[in-house]
Amino acid sequence: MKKHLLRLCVPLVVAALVAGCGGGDTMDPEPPAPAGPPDVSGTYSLVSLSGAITGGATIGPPIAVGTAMLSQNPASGETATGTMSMSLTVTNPLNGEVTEIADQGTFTLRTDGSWEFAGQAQQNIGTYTLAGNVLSVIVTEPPAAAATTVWQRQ
Amino acid sequence: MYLRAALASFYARAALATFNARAPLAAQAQDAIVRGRVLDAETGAPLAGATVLIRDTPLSATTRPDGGFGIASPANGTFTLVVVADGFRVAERELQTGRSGELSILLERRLFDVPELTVTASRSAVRTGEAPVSVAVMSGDELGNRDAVTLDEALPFAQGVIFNSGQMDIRGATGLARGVGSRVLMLLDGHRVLSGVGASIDFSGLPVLDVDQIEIVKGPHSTLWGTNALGGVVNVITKRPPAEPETIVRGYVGLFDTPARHSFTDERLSREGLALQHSRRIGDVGTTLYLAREESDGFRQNGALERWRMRLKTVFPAESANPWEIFVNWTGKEEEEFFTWLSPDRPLEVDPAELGDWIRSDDLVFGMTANPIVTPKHRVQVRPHIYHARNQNHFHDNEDFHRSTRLGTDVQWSLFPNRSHALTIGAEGAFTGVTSNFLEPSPDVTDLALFAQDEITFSDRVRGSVGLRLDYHNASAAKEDRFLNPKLGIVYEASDRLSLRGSLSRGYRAPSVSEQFTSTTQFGFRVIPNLELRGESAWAREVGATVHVSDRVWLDAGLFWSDYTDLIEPSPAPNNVFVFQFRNVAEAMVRGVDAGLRIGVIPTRLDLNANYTFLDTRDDRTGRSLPYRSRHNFTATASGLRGMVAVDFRHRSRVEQVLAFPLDERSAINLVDLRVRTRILGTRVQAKIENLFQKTYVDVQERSPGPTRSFRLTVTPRF
Repeated sequence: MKKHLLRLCVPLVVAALVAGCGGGDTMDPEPPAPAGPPDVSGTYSLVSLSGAITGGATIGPPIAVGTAMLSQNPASGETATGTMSMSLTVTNPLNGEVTEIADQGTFTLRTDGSWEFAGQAQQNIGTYTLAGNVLSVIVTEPPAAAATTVWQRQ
Repeated sequence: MYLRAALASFYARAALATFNARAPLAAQAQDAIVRGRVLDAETGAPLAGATVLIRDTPLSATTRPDGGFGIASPANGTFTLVVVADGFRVAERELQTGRSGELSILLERRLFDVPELTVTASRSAVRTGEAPVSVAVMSGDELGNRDAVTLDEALPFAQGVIFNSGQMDIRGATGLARGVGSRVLMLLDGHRVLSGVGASIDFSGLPVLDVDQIEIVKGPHSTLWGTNALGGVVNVITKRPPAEPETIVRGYVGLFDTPARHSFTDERLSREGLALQHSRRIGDVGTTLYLAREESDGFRQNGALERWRMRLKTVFPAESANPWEIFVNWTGKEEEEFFTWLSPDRPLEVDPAELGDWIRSDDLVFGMTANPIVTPKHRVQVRPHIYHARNQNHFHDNEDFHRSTRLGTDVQWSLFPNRSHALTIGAEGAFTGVTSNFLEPSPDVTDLALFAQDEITFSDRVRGSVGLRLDYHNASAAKEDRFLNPKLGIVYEASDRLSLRGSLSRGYRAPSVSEQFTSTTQFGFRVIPNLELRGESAWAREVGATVHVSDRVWLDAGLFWSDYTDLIEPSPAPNNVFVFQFRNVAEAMVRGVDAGLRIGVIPTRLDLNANYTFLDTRDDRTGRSLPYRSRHNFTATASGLRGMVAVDFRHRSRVEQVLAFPLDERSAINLVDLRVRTRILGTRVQAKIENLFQKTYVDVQERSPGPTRSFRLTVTPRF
């Protein structure tokens, strides 16, 4: 029974984690390069995460600690694809419970700012902005996983 | 048979005598016996088992093997004799009290079965054309013709019914609730048969061989049936044990044909089953005993199943129009768990870590229907029930279990003060106790309800129905819920061939125990109880029509519009981090058209049965369609040579929205099944190929493969 119940929960949770929604209001988005999407390759550390799954709060280290590695292929027209792996550890400030998330898969970027990630455990659709070395990803779909994640390239 | 007997009570609104065949009161109001024979008009053969009724009285009889009957007639004046038999047109005769001689009543065959009666739409027997709601009916014969091992194999072909990964949906009310909180209420002979923890339907626990008919009342119907009747009510009505001893043996063997590109084993995947049903009457007591064992490898990895079923039904007095009935059903299952596919390239395989995960479950259902008071103007019916369920996971990562026992009863008082009103007043109460290692606190649930309904006959052609039900739901430590569910309906029989209906009603579903009390951590995520969780509800409007266009064409269609409030979904818990719970989050609209067509294309040689449901849905939060719904849902069955050969076709358009994996490829589903049937030395032999063209598809739920092509041979001797 329990497993049935969580069939729905698990992908939604991970979806919210890998990407994110909104936010990033302190950063100026960098216009996409004319030749295609920007190169987002690199190793990132989590700056902040916010959305319904954080109870509406914006959390970051030390409550939420994470890394992401993105490797982007050469762009083809207005689209670029690549691989992404990420891991995240979140400590619930209310009770100290620790949640660890890891996933890997492929991402797709487009010059119109759209983002897709197809991981092994989850998928999400949204938008992205790259401002300097700060990558913000906004997940809008699945709707229940809407969240914002901000990553800092190392 | 049960329905025909129940029709007697429908015609009894100006009843003259008691319903109880054993009681002597009937004789007080009659002074003559009408005798006759019922024959097939085409062949002249006697028709056994036909029901003979006298309209507006509770008087009824069943024809003997020679087609003969004797029925008491009213004391004075003229009366109408009504004869009902499966597969034949209803016949009526105006008669005068005191007539002599034997009647000869010839019944004309119908080209195809159409819904005739329902006992679910108004808690008493009415002709479907007189019910102000949409009702679909599937007969026991059709179940047999479809060679259904469990009811969910046949129900997808009922008008307005859609199945999503094995979960039943009526008119788009349910997308995919993952086995918890069914928005369809399942009844067995009027008894609720939803599990105590998940409030889910276990189709394998429902009878198959002794089904008289399945009634599907579409749309919210909580005014009469309470919680879970949000999308509709399904009532499985079983037969009475026949007058003569009868033994049915049903054996089948089947093979699953795995596409070479998705092969995961060298072994041939198979299934087999053997069922035995024996019925007999001993004195006034009729009994049916059913035993079955089934075993299957399943069509996919980790899909094996072993299932035992037992059923006992006793009816007393067996010939009464209102007998007392008791049934006990037990189902024991050991079933492997297919969680999700390994990858799109290996859709029939699971994660190696999950190999060997299995579940043991036992469901025991007891129901009793008692008619302690039956007089010409009153009838009291009491229906106690018990549903005990045990479920134990044997997974690589958990050993979760739950046990639940639901004890309940309803009491229904029907009054027939005059020919214009038929009143129904009732109460329902149930207590559910649960123990589990993942429900916190271990809850007790109390459900109470009061309901009332008046069916008003304005004229011979216009009838109305008004009703109200108050439900109270209290789960220990959680917030109490109270719901008021009214309904209003009207039906106009414009002619013998055309019936128009309209209704406004409200339905609701109380949160299931698992939605309200699950407390667990799995895959690193915390799921917590929600003691504030409320029930979800819907207001629904409908207009519809049933048209007998000609002797060869029958059409039923309904336009429906439902507005849902407080739909329950798993969502992030507020003021928390990485914590989930079930919450009332969605408002939604579902509207559409539900149509059914029966055509006798070439009489007795080719029949066509087609159903179409169009759904237009909207999630008010997102403005998008509701997840796991297809806009177009179509089924058709073409059967020839009186059903000896049949082809079934199912189509549903691409699911527009899903919840978890929006990037997964989704496509329309088109499936064809082929069935043939013959009789050899008195034994019915059936062969069936499902998914004839070996379509590979996702069965609505992401990463859940639909069944591969399969072959089955069934032999059913009857003694």
